[in-house]
Amino acid sequence: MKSAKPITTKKNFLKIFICLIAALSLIFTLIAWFNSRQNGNEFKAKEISAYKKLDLLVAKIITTTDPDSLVNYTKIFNRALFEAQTSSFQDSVISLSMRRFTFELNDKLHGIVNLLDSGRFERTGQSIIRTCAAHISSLPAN
Amino acid sequence: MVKIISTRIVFCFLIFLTYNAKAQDLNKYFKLLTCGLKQAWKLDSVTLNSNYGIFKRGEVLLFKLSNEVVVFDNDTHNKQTITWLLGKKDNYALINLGDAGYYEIDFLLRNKVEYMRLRNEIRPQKNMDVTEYYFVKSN
Repeated sequence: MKSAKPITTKKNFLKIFICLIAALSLIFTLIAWFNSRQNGNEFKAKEISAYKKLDLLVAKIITTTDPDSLVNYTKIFNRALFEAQTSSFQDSVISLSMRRFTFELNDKLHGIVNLLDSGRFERTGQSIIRTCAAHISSLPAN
Repeated sequence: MVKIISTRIVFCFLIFLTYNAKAQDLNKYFKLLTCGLKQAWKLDSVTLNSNYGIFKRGEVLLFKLSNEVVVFDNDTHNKQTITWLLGKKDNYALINLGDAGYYEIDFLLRNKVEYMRLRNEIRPQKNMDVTEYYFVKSN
């Protein structure tokens, strides 16, 4: 009977040790999950903000009639697009629309008139606004 | 029953109108490209990747209504005949030039000069360069 006591103590110690490891791993997992969620939310907020900024600029660009304003908005747009492309753009449909728009914008800035599709510049811009709005609404809510 | 039939007729009519509009739209490209019969276009300038371009500056492309295009190289005096086909994709007119591939085709006006522009496909990746070929009427 006397020899059974240290074995029980050893078993208890082992149980406590296993429970401690389990509890610690649970805590670490929870911390990691919380951090990733927070990062995801920040990333999403950044993405939405980038899309809204570009949306607004595209709207200004396609509606302006003043050549100087067009040049200024284009500079801001190119900068915003570069920032968005390096940080947040994930959606290939939007990236493609944006790229296409930059080509149309380049035509407009160089005074090029499309003989068979004169409204393409405006249409491409409107398409970006629609695509961005659809993408923002498709993002899952928190 | 009459209501269903009339709905179907209207639906078919709308489809017909859509196709008709597309064909009409392409007809304008045909007319400008071949000027009704044949038209020569000389490569005036290339933007971006001029070193990698499939067409060389000064090259002349003679587009015929018979869906043939004769490519003249002024430097080597070579002549090559390939077929061309026009189509539409997502509101953009595309031209297929056989082995030379597909290009977006546009007719532009800049400083009162008429240009035909062939542009290879625009892709979402910003590092994928797009080459634009600007042709002017040769005769």
